[in-house]
Amino acid sequence: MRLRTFILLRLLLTIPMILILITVVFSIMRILPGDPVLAVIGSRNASEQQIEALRHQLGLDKPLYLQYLGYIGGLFRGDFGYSMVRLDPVTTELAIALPATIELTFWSMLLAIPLGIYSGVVAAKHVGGKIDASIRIGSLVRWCVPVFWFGLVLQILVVQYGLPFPIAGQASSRMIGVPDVTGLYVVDAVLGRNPQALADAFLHLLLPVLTLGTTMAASITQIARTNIIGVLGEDYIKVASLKGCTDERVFQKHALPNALIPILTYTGLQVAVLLQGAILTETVFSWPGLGRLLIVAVGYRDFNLIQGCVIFFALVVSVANLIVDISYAMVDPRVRL
Amino acid sequence: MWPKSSRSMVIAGTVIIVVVLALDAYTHIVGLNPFATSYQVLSPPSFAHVMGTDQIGRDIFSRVSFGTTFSLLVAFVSVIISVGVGSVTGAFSGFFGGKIDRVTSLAFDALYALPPLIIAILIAAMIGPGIVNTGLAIGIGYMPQYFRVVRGIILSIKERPFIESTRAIGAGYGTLIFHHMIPYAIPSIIALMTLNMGSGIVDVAGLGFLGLGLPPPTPEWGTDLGRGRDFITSGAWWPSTFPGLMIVMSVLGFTLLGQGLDEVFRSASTKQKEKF
Amino acid sequence: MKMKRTYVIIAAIVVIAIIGASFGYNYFLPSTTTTTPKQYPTIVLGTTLDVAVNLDPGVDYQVGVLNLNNIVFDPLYEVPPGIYPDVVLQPRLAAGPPVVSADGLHWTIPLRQNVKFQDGTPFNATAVKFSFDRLSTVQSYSAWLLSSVASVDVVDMYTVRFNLNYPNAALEGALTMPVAGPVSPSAVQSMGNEKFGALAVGTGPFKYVEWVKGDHVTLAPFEDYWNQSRVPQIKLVYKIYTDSAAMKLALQKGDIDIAWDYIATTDYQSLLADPNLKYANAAEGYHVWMTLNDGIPGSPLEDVNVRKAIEFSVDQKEISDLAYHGLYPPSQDTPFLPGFYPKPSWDQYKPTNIAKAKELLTAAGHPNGIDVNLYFTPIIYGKEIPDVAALLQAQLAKAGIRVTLNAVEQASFVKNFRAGNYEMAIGIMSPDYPDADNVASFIASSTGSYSKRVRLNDTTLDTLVQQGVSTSDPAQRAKIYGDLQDRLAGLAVYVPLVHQANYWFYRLASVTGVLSYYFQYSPWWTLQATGQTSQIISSELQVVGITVTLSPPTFKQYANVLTSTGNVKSTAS
Repeated sequence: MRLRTFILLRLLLTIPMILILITVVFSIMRILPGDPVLAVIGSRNASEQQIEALRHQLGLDKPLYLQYLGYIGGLFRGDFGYSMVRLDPVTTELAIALPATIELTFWSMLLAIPLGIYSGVVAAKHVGGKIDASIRIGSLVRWCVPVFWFGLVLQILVVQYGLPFPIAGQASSRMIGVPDVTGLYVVDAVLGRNPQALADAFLHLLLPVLTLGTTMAASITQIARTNIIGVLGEDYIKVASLKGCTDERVFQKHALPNALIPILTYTGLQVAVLLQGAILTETVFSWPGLGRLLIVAVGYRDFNLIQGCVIFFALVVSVANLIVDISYAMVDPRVRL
Repeated sequence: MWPKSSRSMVIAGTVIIVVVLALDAYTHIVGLNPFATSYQVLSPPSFAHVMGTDQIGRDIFSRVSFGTTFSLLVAFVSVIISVGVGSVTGAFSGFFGGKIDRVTSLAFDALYALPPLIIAILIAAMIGPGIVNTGLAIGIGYMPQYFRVVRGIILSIKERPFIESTRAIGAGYGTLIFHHMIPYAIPSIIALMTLNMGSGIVDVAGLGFLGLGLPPPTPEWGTDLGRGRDFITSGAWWPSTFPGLMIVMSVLGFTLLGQGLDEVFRSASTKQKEKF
Repeated sequence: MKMKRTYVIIAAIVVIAIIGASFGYNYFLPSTTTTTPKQYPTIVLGTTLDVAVNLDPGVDYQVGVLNLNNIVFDPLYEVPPGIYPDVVLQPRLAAGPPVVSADGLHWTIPLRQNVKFQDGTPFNATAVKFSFDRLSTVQSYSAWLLSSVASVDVVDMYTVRFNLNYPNAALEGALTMPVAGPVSPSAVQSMGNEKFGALAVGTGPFKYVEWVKGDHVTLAPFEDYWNQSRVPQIKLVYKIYTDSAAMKLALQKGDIDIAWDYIATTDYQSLLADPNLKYANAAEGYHVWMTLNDGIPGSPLEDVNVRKAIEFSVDQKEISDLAYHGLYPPSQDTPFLPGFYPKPSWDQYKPTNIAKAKELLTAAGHPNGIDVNLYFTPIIYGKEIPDVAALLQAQLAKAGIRVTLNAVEQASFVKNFRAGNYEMAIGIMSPDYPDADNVASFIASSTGSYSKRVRLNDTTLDTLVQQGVSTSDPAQRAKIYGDLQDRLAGLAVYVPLVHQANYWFYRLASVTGVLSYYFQYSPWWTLQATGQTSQIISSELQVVGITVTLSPPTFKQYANVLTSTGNVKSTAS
């Protein structure tokens, strides 16, 4: 079929998928034992009437299907509902937390992709040798290290050796005067022409990015290595060599570009892993992003906030998968069938 | 027979797993107690306590070795659940095709869109902690993988002549699927299962770290190292370090084994293909 | 592969350069703080209590917001600063004591004149009525404190009348809470309730300047404050941390000047040894205790002797030492605070006596011990709770009481706990406002929300609670509440464990002293910024006879400062 049709069909398929997901999450939330109003009240002493009044005001005493319809209807208007814990719209909470997660994941992938591909390349070029073996073992072991433990170990090292790196948070408390334009601290510091804030933002990013970035790099290394080795064994490489090209040119002009596509598409499919890693990394470093927001929301049974976060994560993964599928379809016509 | 690197991987993996299990067995045999509190609170590693003590004076070595049982058990439960449900639905879906296949595939695709950890968090919050519960929470996130693999394999052999002939002689669907078709999927499944044991262990620890794992005072690696976080700034590095090392070791064992098996099976199947 | 290597090297150099530059700026250049113009020195308070919801005093009831609202809103009455044997509430926005009608249902309160709100509008009786009426229109977590009040009438410009649903001597105490702090009607009307929650306006000495959600709240002095002798000379930034370890690091680095509520007990050790820091401390009002449910059919705890056996088996000192590092003193009483008739009635169960416990169990028909379930929730009551549970399990096991531990996550726990479904549970309890009835009605009266958790239903206690709230004679109240506590201890439905003790660490470089007051609801504290003479800044906190020693004073030591008949001299006639 034609590319356009394929893209359209894939897009259309995504919508029911997301809808199913929302319904499933919605139902899970309602089945969850525990009462969100009481969870918010926690250890405080409030009277029964007040609790009932709160429940009514939050719309939790309406029949389930009405709550569901109201929620779906709201979604189409861009209204993700009201967060019971924070008492403001879920979209506000998501908007506050999103830039922090974007900042973390962006810089982590900025580290992971070049690091992973470079290691994979080096390993592939020395395949079977000691360098290859050490890179393979290194990335394998790193892959087996849980992302949250790695972060903890970095914190331990900083504390034990008295290194002057911040081990938690996104910025120091003295950085209060920086204007909040995008929510991305690095960008805002640049926009605000505040070199101190910029330095502060980078320092706070250092450990979390090292943690999440090396975690992602471990799997990218393995895939890069496998793909490049595979490509190097192809016939057209042999032809190029026979033609008289130097090894370098063969590599750069023929092998690498061909290998890059599957590597990058694989990376696209790793978005789910990236988000999982982000949740755990944010918890370790008290990073105020979506992952931590989700954990807090689950603890309070804040239905709307949980649903908002989950939908958001699912959307990101779906979009990433969509892009991957479409790029495959563009490159390989056979896939479109 | 087996390529050299995969052979060494399988051996290395098995050895590591055996060591881990042996450590666990040792503590049971010797009778160490991971629950005994004492006034030696947060004491660093020493001869008396090889890995130090935690915040209420419990010996960390006992807790770490005891924790092996729980982590491996929950990971195992999660793998069984995901394999069981995922493979069977994948087989049936692939075999019968049509609308059932499309709907089931869509459902599993939807599940696939959510990172497994998030699914595990939601379900763990829903049904509470416990060996089976946590295993279920983790297992659900991995079902789509088995679904896809098995469905793919079933689809590819569905049209083969020997299947048609077996149908022709009157074999029922059950026999056909389970006796004749699924065995082709077994090698891929086994490698995947072993790898997922590793992921399962990490996920159990992750849930424990987030406070959603097995209930205290169960010695669980993730929970213990999560609790140890509070003491890092006071200079006590051992409560968080040692459980983490055990996680790395056991995951490494299963991953090596799984990847090694994967390579073995893959080379075996290419050899098989070459025969034709 | 030379070209690729060059790229890699260049990339590495760039990265290192960025990190190096970051270091340079942060550590070698003099630090400039904020870009906002400084007229007052700024003191930064760190806290782990998030102002998550709303600054609107009519809405929120979280401790973090209470701390702030206490200095932004003046209530009608206050607990005065200082250590007193008898806590006498004093008028703040009121001009004098309330005049209570003979049937106790009408309280006429004169108001102070020439008071302005922070937006310049005048304070008067209309504002008080508006503030009260408003409570039923917002989603309030705190309005229940004033549930005894049916309506408020404006008698004249500076006199209001509260009309009650039932006689309530404790109302004056409730009126010291921020929920009763008048808000500026014009501000509410012009901003709307939602925006008001973002920058609420009151009459207090501090005004809200900025609130960045989840990050910090900035407060500046209200220069036209009616009490000119108490206008603050510092700006306050209340910086929110998500966990205590991060806050502790910030304190040690100098990012914050005072680490306020709450530093976890695990972080105290290194702070206590730091020469750049000093601390002020107090044993606060919240108690950690274990509840024993006497009303679950079929449970061995139905028998009071079994419950007493449990009281005898618990070793509070071990729990205090191990789970709380000795920093939260062991407790033998319930949250009746000094000044409000506390009585250590649970002394009868100490010292810990396993033999006696076994004796009681055997006499109750359980020679082989019993099997029970203990429920707890790991986070909201403090991270130490799972450790407390593990210790309790070990302690009770010695008496043959086999405890199964159940960790329940927050939402489920709160629901089941309140419904009285838990055989044994670990919970906390703290008073809400300065009156003994607040505690008594919650934990002793059969309609109290805490009593329901243990299915307590005792007519003697009900009578005592009723008597306590109907009389305002301090001597009588002392006797009533003393009897109440004795009976409660005898029924053994609560097992006190420890008392929370608060430590506020501050940097000597920027703060010369912090005096805090023993009772949580005293609205003033003193903060001395370096280079200034003593300034009463205001807020609510505890009394301390400041002793900077490494072993924290126990709650009993504070109680000894006061007379045994500490009482609230309510000026209601």
